[in-house]
Amino acid sequence: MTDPGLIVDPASQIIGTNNAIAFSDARAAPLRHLLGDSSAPTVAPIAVLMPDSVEQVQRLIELARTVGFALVTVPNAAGNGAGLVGGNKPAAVLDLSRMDEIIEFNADSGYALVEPGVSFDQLRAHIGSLGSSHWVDCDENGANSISGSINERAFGYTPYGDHLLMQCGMEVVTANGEVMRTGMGALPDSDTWQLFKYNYGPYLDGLFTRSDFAVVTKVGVWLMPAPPAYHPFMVTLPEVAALEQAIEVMRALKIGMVVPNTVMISHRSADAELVRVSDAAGLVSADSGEWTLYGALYGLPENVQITWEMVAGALASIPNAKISTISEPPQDAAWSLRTRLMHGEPVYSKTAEQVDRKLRFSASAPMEGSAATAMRDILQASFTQKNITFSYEYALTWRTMFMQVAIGYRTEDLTAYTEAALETIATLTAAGFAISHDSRELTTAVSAAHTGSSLQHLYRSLDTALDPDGILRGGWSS
Amino acid sequence: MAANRLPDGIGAQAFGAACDELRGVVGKQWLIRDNEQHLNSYRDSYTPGDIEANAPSAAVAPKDVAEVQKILAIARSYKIPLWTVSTGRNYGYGGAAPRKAGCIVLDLKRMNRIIEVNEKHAYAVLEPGVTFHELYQYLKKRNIKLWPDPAAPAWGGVVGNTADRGVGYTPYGEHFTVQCGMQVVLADGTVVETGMGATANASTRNLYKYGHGAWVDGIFTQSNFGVITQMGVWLLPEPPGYRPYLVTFPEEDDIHQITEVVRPLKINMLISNAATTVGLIWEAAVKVTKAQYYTGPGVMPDSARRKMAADLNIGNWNFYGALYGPDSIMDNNWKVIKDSMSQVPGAKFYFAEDRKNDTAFDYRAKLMRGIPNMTEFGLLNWLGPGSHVDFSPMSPVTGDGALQQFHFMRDTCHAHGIDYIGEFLIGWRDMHHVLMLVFKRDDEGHKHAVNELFEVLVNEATLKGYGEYRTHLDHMDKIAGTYNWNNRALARVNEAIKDALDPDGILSPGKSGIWPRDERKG
Amino acid sequence: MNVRAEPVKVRWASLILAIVVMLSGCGREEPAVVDAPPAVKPQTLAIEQASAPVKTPSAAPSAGIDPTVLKQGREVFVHYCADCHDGGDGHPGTMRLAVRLGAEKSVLKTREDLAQDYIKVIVRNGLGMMPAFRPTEVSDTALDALAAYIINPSESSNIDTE
Repeated sequence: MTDPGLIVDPASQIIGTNNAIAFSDARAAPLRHLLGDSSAPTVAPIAVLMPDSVEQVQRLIELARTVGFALVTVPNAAGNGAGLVGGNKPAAVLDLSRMDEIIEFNADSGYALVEPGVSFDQLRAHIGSLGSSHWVDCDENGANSISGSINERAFGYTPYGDHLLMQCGMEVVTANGEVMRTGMGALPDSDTWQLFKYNYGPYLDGLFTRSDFAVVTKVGVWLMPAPPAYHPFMVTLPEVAALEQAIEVMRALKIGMVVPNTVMISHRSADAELVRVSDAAGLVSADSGEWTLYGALYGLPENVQITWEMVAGALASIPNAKISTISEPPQDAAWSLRTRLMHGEPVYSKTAEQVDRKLRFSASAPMEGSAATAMRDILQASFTQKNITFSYEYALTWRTMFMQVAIGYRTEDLTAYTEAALETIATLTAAGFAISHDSRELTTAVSAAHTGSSLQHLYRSLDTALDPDGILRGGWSS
Repeated sequence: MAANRLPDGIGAQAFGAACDELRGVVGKQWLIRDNEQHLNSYRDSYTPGDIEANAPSAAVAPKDVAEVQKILAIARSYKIPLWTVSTGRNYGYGGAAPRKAGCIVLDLKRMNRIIEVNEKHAYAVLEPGVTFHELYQYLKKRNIKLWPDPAAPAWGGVVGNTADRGVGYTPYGEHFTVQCGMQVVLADGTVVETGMGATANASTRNLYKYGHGAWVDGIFTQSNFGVITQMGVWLLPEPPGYRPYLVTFPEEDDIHQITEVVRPLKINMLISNAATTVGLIWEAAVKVTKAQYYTGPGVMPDSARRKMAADLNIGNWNFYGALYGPDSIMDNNWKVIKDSMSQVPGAKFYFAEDRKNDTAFDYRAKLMRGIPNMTEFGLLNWLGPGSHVDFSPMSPVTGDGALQQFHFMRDTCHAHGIDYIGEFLIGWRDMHHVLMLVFKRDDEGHKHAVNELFEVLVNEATLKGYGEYRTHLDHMDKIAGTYNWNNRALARVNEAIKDALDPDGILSPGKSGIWPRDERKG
Repeated sequence: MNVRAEPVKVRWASLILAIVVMLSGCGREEPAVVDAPPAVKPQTLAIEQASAPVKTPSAAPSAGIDPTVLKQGREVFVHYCADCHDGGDGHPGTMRLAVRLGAEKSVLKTREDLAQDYIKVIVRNGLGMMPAFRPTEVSDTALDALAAYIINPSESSNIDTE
C-alpha cells in the first residue's frame, strides 16, 4: 500500500478531514524530521492521524485492522517516547498531541493524571496557575510529553527523577481496540488509582514502557511538594582521579538517599551542549574541570544544613576538586541550567523539528569510579579515533550509574555514525555495561542483540498475546 | 483423613506414571504422594473453608532449575497442573495449599541458596526457599551492615513475599519496589533472565530494574505466568541511628485526624518507613487474650476495651514509626512529627525506654529495624487455638478515606459478632488496611461466621470502590472479579497473556483468579 | 529425666538413626538417601484432643544420644522453633502453651513430659495455631534430631541469636 488515501479517507470519517493527512503533507514536516531518517530498515509511515479522544483511538485501531496498516504512536510534538517505524506493514502515525488534557491535579496527595499530549511545560503552568507549589520532575525539554518520558523511562533531576518509579496508574488501548486501566483504575469508582500502583494480580504497567504493546492514553504521576529548603551544589573534577573518587564518595550517599536527586557528572562537552541547546546566555566557565558534578539536597533547612556538612566532608576527599554551592554561586552558565533542572524546571522548550538530531544511548554500570573510566575509555577509543564529536555525562541514580552519550549528526553522517555507535555499544556490552536507553536510530539494532535469547522468546509470546495482528508493532522490544 | 487425591480428569494409572517420572527427576524422597510422606503438611490448616477444597494430590520438590524444567515437561505431558510455593507459609492467604484441589505442589523450598550478597552495592540475590530469618542470620553472622525488610512472620520467604507483593516495616517496606532482576522459568521450560540479566555478564543485573526493552518483572508477581527461581532484592544500608517510637491515641475516630496529620509527614518522607496505625485489639492480642477481659458472646464491649487499654497503657489507635539517620536529623524530624501528632487531643508519645518489657513495642521495634521474629503470631491466641484469614483493602492516606473505611469494616464485623482486629500499613501515598479475621480453628460455627462476613465485606467494599491487594485462595476469583472496569478489560488481557505463556494451563491455575482457557467460567 | 513409653523398641530405632546420621555427616536439609529402617510411624491424632503422652519413668539414661544429632537438633530448633518456642515474652508458641497448659508447661525445652514421637507428629501435622512443617523445611532426619534435642537440650535457656 503506498496510497495514503487508503488510510486518510476512511480515517477522516472518524477524526475529521483536518486530522487525517498524508505523511508528505506540509503539516507533517516535524514528524518527517522525527521519523523519516531512521537508519533502521524502515517502512516509512504514509499518513498521520490525530485523534482527540480515547474512543477515536479505539476506532482507528479497528480501522488499522480492517484496512491492514500499522500505527506508530507519537505522544506529542516533541516526539519523545514515540514508537518506532520498521514493521512490515504500511504505517500511519498516531499523533496524540490533540489529547492534551490534564484530567486531574491533586495537591493534597501530590499527583496528576494526564493525557499523552500533555507536556511538562503545560503541567507546570497549570499547577502554577492554581497557586500550588508542587514540583514536576521534568526532562530538559519542557515540551516533552510526560507520558512519552515515562514510556522512554527517562530520568529527570530532582528526587523524583526515576519517572517510571513515580508513575502510578495507566490507561491503555490494546491492539484489539479495548480500553484497559491498570492498578486501582481497574476497580470501578476507586479513589486510589493514582495513589497505589498495584491492584490484585499481575502488575502490567512495565510492559507499556519501551515497547508498543498498547497505546497509552492516560498516565498518573506523583508530584513532589515544594521542599522548604533546596541546596544545590557543584564539584569541579579536574582529572580522572577526581572523577573516580567523586563516584566512590557518591555511592553511599546515593544508596542511602542522603543526596536524593539524580546526580549528574557532566563532561564539559555535555555542559557546553546543554548551554548551546538551551540557548542560554553565558558560557561554561573556564574554571570548570573536565567533569563537573551537580547534586542537591532537599528538605527541612536544619536537616539540609546538617546533611550538607556531612556531604561536604565526604566530597573533601576528592583530590583537587572545587566545591561551590548556592551560597556562592559560580559564574557559570551550566551551573544556572543545572540548578534549574534539579529544581524541577526544564531549560528549553522545543518541538522535534527544532531539536538537532542526535544519536543517543546510555550504558549502565555499577556506581564505581573504575567503571566510569572504563566506559569512557571505550568511548574515546571508538569515536575520537573516527573524529566523531560526542558529548557524554554520567547520571547517578539510586543504585545505577548511567553513561549517557549524545552524537549530533547530519543526514549524510547517519550511516557511518550509526555504525560507530553500534560498534561502541557492542564493546561496552561485552565489557559488562549493558545498554539501558537508546534513541530511535539505534533501538532496533541494539534490540537485535537479543535475537534468539530467552527474553526475546518471552517478548514474542507477549506480542502474540497483546498484538497478534501486528497493528502496533513498530520494532520495539524485539 | 481423605484418600489420596487425584488431579481432576487424571486417572490413577496415569497419575502413578507421572509420579514415577517425577521421582526419576527429584528422587523418591522428594516426590511426596501421601500422608506417610507427610503430604498433609501441604494443607491449608488455617482455612475457614473446607480444607479438602484445596488439598493437593502430591508435592514435588526440585533442587535446581534443571529439575524445575523437567518437572514442567512432565506436567505438560500429562496435563497435570502444578501449584508453586516458595517457603509455603503464606498463612491467612492459603499457606502451601493449591487453589485447585488435586494440583501437585511445586515446592521450591529446597532451592534455598543465598547466591550473592553484595555489600558495596547493597543487594542480595536469592533463591525462593530463603526465609527472612535465614537472610537475616546470614547477614548477621558475617557482620554485613545491611538490613533485610521482613514481613511480620520471620518464616516468610523473601522471594515469595515479594512475588505476592507483600510489605514490611522499614523504609524498604514496599517489597516489590526494591526488587531488581529475576530469573523465571516459563511453562515451556524457557529460562528467562529479566532486566539487565538478559544481557550476558551485565554488571547491572541487580542494579538496574528495567532492562532495555519492555519491563516484564511485574507480570510475574501475584500471577501464574512463570516460576520464579531467582530474585535480586535491594537491602537497606544500616543507618547511623535508629529510634522506634509509639504514639497512642485514645478514641476510635481519631483515625481521621491521625491520617490527615500523617499524610504530609509521609509524602515529605519525615516518616520514611512503612509505619503502622494499629487498632486496639491487634495491639493487645500479642500480650493478652480476649477471655482475660471478656467472656461473653459477641464483640468486646466498650468497657472491656477501655479496661484493656488502660491495663496495657495503649490507645484505640497505636502508631508505630521509626526515625533513621544521624542523631541531629532524627531530632529535627521528631520535632515536626511530634508537633504534628500533638494536634490530636490525647496523643501520647513513647520511645523504647518508655515501653520496657512491652512485647508489642519490642517486636515492632525489631520489624522496623529489619530483625525478623514471630511475635505477631501471638495474635492468634486471642480466642483460643486460632487461625486467621485476612481482608486487605487499600485506602488513601486521607482522614475521610480512612475513617469511612474503618467504620465500614468495624461495623460490618460487629454486625456479625466479630471483633475488628485491624491496622493500617502506611506506604507512601497509600495504606494497606489489613483486617485480621481471627477464628477458632476447630469451631465450625466460627468459620461459618467468618466466611459469611468475608463475603459481605468484599461485596460492600466493591460497591464503595475499595480494592483488596491480596487474598486467600477461596476468595481469589471474587477479588479478581472486582477489578472489572470496562467489562473486565484487565482480566481479558491477563487471560491473553496466560494463554500465550501457559497454553496447557499447568502453572498455578486460579492464582489471582486467572484460569487456563478451558477452565474459565462464562 | 527423660523417659520412653516403649523403651526397648523406640530406643533401638533411635540408636540406628543416630548411627546413620553420624555416618552420613553433618545433617542438612537434603540428606543422603538413608537405608535405615524408618523411625516409628507417626500416629494420627485428633488435633485439639492430643495431649502429650506421659512418659513412664525408666532407668535408661539419655546418654545414648549422639552429640552430632543433638547439635543438628539444636540448629533446627534455633532455625525453625526458637522464634515461637523460646521462653519469655514475644514467643507465641510459649504464650499459647501457657494459656492452654499453664506456665510450667509453656517452655518446650524445659518440659519433661514430651515424647519424641509426639513432637514429630506435632511438627508434621501442626497443632492449634501452629501449622505443620514440611519435609522440605525440616527433613525426617532433621526432625529426628530436633525431637531428640528438645527433650535433651544442651541448655534450657534461650540461645542468643541476636
